[in-house]
Amino acid sequence: MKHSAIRNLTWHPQGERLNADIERAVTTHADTSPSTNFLVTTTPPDLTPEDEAAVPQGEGVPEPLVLSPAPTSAIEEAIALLRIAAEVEGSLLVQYLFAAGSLLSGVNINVPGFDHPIQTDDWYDVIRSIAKQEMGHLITVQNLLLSLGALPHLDRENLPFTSPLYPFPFSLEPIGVVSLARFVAAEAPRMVASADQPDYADAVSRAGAVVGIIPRAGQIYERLFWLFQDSDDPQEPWPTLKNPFPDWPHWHVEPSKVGLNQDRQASPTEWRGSGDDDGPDTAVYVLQIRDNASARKALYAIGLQGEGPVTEQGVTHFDKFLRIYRELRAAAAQPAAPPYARNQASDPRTGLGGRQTITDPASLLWSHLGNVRYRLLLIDIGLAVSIGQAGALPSAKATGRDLTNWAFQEMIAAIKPLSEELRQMPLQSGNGPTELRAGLPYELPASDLPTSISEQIAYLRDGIAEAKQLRERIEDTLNPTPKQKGILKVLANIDSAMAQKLG
Amino acid sequence: MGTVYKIHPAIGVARVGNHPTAYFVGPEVPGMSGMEIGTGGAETPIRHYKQEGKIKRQAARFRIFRYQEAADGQLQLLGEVTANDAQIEWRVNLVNRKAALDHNPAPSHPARPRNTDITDRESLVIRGSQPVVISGQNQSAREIRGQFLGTEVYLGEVRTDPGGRLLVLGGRGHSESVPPGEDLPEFANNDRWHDDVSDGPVTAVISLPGQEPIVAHHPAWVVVAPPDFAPGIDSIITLYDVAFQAAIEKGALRPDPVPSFRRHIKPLIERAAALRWVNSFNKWADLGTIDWSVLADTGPANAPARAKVAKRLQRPGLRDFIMPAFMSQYVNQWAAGQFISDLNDSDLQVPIPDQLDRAALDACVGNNFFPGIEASINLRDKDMYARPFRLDHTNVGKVYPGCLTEIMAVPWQADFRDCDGGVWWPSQRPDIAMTDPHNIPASQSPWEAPIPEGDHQGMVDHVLQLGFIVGTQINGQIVFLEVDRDPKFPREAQIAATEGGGSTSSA
Repeated sequence: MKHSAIRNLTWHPQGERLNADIERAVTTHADTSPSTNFLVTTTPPDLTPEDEAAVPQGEGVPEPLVLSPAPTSAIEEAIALLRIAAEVEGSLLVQYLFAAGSLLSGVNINVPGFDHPIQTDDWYDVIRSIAKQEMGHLITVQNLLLSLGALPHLDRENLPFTSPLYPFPFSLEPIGVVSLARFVAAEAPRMVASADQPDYADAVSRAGAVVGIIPRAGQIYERLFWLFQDSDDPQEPWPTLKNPFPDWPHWHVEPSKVGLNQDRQASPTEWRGSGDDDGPDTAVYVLQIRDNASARKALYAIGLQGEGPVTEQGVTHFDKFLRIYRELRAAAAQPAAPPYARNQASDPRTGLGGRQTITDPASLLWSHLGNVRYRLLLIDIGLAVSIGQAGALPSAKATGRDLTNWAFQEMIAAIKPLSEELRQMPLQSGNGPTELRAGLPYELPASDLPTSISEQIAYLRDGIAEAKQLRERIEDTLNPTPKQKGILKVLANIDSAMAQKLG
Repeated sequence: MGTVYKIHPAIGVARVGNHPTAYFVGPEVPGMSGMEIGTGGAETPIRHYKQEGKIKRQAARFRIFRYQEAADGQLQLLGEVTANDAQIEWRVNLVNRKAALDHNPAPSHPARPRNTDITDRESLVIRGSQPVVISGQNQSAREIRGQFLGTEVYLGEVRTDPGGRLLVLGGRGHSESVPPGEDLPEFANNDRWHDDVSDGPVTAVISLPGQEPIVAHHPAWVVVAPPDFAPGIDSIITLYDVAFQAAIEKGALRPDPVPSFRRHIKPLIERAAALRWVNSFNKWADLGTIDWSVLADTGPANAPARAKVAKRLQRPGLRDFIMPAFMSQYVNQWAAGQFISDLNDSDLQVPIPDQLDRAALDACVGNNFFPGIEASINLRDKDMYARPFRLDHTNVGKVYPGCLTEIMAVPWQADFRDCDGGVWWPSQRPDIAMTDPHNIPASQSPWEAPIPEGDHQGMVDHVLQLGFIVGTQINGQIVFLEVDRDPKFPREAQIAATEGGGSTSSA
């Protein structure tokens, strides 16, 4: 039965369930003793006039964050924060993909005050590129966890609940002013340039009206960088960094505890990533961790790509989302502007509980298939970074390299084409072509995903079998189009190869 | 002081194709198309890249030029040496060693050791038993065949033209696994698979009447690459730019102190603008309607316009895009108004050998190498070169037959399938194709459809049936449209079931 805290997808190399002492739970209750409370606010204490304008003006301090059990060392805190970072990355990238997928292609809107036509294709390319970069961040976070001797963590916040470190509750939203406002707020740097502050404040206000205060995701990485410093003194490559949680313990990760599991860490070659010498605009950082210095470089690269600082404007996620926000807000305000997004459901669900439940039979079958592929993707990634490229699964012929390949096949041959099909399919039975479209729900199961390697291998086998059943039902009952048949055929080939290696 | 013989182009590029006999000579003049050699030796610009539904191979043509070396080491071009002047004995060694790759070129490069479980590494290297030799005028093909895991592979052939110039032709675009049926899970590293691209040295022995034979002092290199499916469209950064930067880093060349708008900036903008035909029409359309007089003006009033375009050039949204430092400097200078405003000046006269060097490399991708199309990151390495654009054959640790193509994807078709999405090399492997000249841009369609995403085998089987994106004049404007797509492979076709992997490329 799922607990109310964040679901974990963690496992032990020997197949044992994760030690409960290390397992983190986040509550929204300030019920632990003051000595172990690490209160988090989104208001840094040393404000400057610029900062003041940048900080979200909400209804007050959000619920205090309690790490339970409270970390007793810098490394424990780092591991806890890295798990949160992994969940944030996994959560954001899926929401970015969903939003990008809701865009209509080829729409150009001329808006007064802009010296260029505003293009949905541009938005689509930029947001998908950001999502891919978030995937790189997710993989790099796994390397950071491995380097500390911790297990990979591929969980994703799945229940709507608040946490001072989560930007906003997970919710698949089609592109719109408010959904973009959320992204702007989540990716905000600590210091927002004066010229950007009015639009940033507007985004924060719009998003806040719906989801409340949105903490910056970047502060997780800022704190992590600080933890990997040798001391409280500023350190390269982020000498301007300020500790976002100055009330937390002033401890730092011991160098001797960093750099483990280098044979298992994901490499940019395996994961089609970029090295840290590639520029942040288009690089997909997959960085390996050898020591504190490389950990700082990796955290800085992630932080830089998300929020800055960079010497060149327009390359960070914040800059890109803010630019799109401005354009979309202006386009949406044009009375004669053409539609730029589909009539896409918000938060589609295959079962009860979602604001908009998928009931069209065809959409439902394809959605189930999409959900299965998404879960297979997460398991593939987790197992791949758990055993390393040279590793092999016990009681199966599959290697770490196989798992990495399968993960990419899920992304390229399954998730992308299935999401493209589903965004055109009706949400509910009888919906006409202009009524709500479904979209890929990216649902995780009601029960926790398995946590041991043996259970995960079994889960992959079950997933392949379930996918086969769904494919056959689609083929037999839905009269798929030639394009859809092509998708199903490729998936069948992938599943056949997986089944051969998994036994 | 003395006479120096050089082979040009320094790096020649051939491309595979599945027509059994038809071929054309690759570009030899920058900005121009290749040439077809008719009966009698007449040469005409190529118009159709397919014949009877099959892709013509692109030949790399090599010539000998004679220079007089002055006391200060400067070389003065005297002219071409053909078979009318001397006996020229060409020697070519084509090798494909992709399957035997034993290293990762760089941490962020996708190529990695392949077939590591096969100890007989030589069985993975495809090469002729010895370099092929050819001499004389209008010599018919001498084939180059090798073996891959015991299976014969045709790598290409050499011929000569009426002037005794060397023609190197590559493979048929044929890829398969040995044994058949091996899976194709990756875009770059697939064990037991091979294709028929290759690369290797081109040398020559020149025998003038009454003189001792002379080995050409500056040998060349040939790369056999995949087809260029958009031959009139070049990438923003080309391999020429990459090699030029390497030459600067080696101290062999210097950039112009002030860029020329006509020679340095305008071509860059035009190449970016041309991407609207192969990447996204909307995304690049604004660069297709440029007022050149504005951009060519150094005045501060036009600085915003220059800055806007400069930003587009330096950040085109292509993955891992790197603009060579000298070009970035040119663009920055231009944006700042520090450039030669020579929009309407005449073109400079460029010696033919230099044109040959440039034309070959300008048609190749240099934007980003993951791994690339024709060649990859090692061409950024200044130590690969003996002279500008010319590989150092004596640096055997880095320059050896097969060194350029071994780090490319195997088979190349798998990379072609996955490298869509508008962020890679649309100038060679289009993302989109315009199908109706009277419906632009609405007729924009996925170039590779109906080959599903992730279907590497489908690309192996069908890539040669896909269309070429070719410029044509309609109502006084040049538009790039898809032509010669196999009518038996329409976009709505359903891919026939292919269980597992393996199999041959399409007919």
